[in-house]
Amino acid sequence: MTDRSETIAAEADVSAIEEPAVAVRDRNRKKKKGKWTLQSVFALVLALLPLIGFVIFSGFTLVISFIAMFFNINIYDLTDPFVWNNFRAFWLVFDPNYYPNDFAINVSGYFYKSLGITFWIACAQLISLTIAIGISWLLSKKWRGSNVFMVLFFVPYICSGVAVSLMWRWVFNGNFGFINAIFGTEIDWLNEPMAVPWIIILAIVWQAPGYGIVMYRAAFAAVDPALYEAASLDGANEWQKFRYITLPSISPTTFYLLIAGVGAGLLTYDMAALIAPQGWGDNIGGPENMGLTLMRLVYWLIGDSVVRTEDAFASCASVISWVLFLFTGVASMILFRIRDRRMKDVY
Amino acid sequence: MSTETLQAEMKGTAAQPAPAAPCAAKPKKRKAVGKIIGYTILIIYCLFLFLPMYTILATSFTSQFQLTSTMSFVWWPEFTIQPYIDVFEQDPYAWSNGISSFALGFLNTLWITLIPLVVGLVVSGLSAYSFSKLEFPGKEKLFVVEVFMSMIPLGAFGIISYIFYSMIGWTGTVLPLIVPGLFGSVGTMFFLRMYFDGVPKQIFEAARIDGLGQFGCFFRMMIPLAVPAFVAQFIFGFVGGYNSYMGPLLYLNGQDEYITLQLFLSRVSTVFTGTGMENVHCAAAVLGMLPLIIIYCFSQKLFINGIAVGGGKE
Repeated sequence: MTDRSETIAAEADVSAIEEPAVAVRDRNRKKKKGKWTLQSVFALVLALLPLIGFVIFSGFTLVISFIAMFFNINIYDLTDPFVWNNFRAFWLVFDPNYYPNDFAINVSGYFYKSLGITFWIACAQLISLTIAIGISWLLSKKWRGSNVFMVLFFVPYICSGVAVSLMWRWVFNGNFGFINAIFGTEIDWLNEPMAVPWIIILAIVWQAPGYGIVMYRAAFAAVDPALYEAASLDGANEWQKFRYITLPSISPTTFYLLIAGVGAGLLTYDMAALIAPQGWGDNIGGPENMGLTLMRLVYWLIGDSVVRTEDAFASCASVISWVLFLFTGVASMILFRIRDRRMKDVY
Repeated sequence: MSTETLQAEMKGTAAQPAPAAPCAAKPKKRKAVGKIIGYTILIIYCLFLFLPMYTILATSFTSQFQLTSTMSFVWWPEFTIQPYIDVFEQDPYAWSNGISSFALGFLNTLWITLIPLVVGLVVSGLSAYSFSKLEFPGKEKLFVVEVFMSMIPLGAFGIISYIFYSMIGWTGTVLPLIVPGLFGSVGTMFFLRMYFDGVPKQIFEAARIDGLGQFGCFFRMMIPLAVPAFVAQFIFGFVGGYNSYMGPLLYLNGQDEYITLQLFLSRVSTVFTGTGMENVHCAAAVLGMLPLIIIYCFSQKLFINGIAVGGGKE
């Protein structure tokens, strides 16, 4: 390593013979490069700072949640001995027919229910993405006022999830709701199990496209106008131009938004927890648990493990967190793979 | 990539002649029809975005009397600002902290967000500066390792990290919300480094020869030169911190003296629902959204260009 950099430095010297002052400074710098001086150690420490934070706070969380999958732990008193749980948490989470006597709550029932709902909420990102493409395509025409529209369309993105949830709860309120006022119905939407997931999806679709629209603005602006001109000379119509020029050109942005969106969708918490708050008894995720996402289930298990320290609740929460981690990881890996293949097709 | 390049790019396309402008009459007519349809779609989307906002705005100006006597949505309220006064006076935490919980939540949100954000930006900036302008063995390898680690989607462990923080006794305090942020983030570092790489190294060498230390180089030269990059990261850090709900809910553990604005909002909605005081909860939601919307109104360019340049943060 040192040898190589020194030969490079030597070569640089040869090429810089005409400017001696610069060459000397250059050589001094290049000589320093491969060695541990006080300054380079200091530079390394500065460079490491974000990694140190990452290792302490994410690394330990990973390790402890991994251990917690296999041991019953008392999360308030870690001096309690860890008790090997014989894969009990895995049975509790995955096997619907596993009902131990001492365990009153059907974790796997909640798990499968929330899995389905989380899946649908993550799929809702496709709706947001379609809206974002359509709207930013219209905005890319540079009609009069398109900048004003852009500024308006970004507003939902800066609103907090809590405020947005309160807003949609108010829109669908049984007594005072705007929806009931328009349609003259008297439905208590928020307690209607079939309506709850759709209200959550609606709230997400209301908020999410603003980000995509702004990201697409740069992408649409970067499409080579010569391609459009060539296409119009060949007699292509608007749809063909959109399908065969615009869409392939913006696909890197599309895949980035899809990865980020699906990841965020799988981790939905705020909107679901506020639109369908925990009800009585078994309804931990709103009416008939129709607003229960995986993150909410983890939160509920952690919250309850505070009360029942001896149970395997923290272990179940760890198992579900790791499942969720696998989902987010696999989702982004699949999308990266598709993107790479698409890139090969295009170029 | 700087804001200027981006703007130039956008202006460039704007200045381009509209593609496909053959002067035949028929396409022109079709174009007009297309324009009408396009505007209709844009306006419908605007209505979809802003009608729900109008509903809470209208209700927030409705008196409790009008609300309970009509028992349905009031389109045009008899204007009153009483709900906004009630946000401060009808405290959902029963005045347990001595001052209005809304004000307390707002102040708490500010310092809980700003301290880690500002310190974290400086630390990420120092790290990026080290990667971009200083030398040490194995630099590029370390950079690859850090960026690879930052790509692991760890959001799924957001809640289970409670076990770790309770183990070190930090739950029920603000520490889990502040301390991790003080170390900066690899994502920010990565973004800042790309920006810093565009600044020529020679000016720092000149400054070093003139006797400026490395910290002086960073604070007095790099930060002023990279203001747009820092502003972009700051805006999205601030929006994210201001709006965050799950973290405070999880770690603050019902410690009322640390409530944040978002916790206050969710508390208002549970306490006031079904009591005929929904106008207060709409007013609280409007007040909660207002600060960011006001900032946005005065600096939409920063927001929109910042997101396109910085990619934003969640």
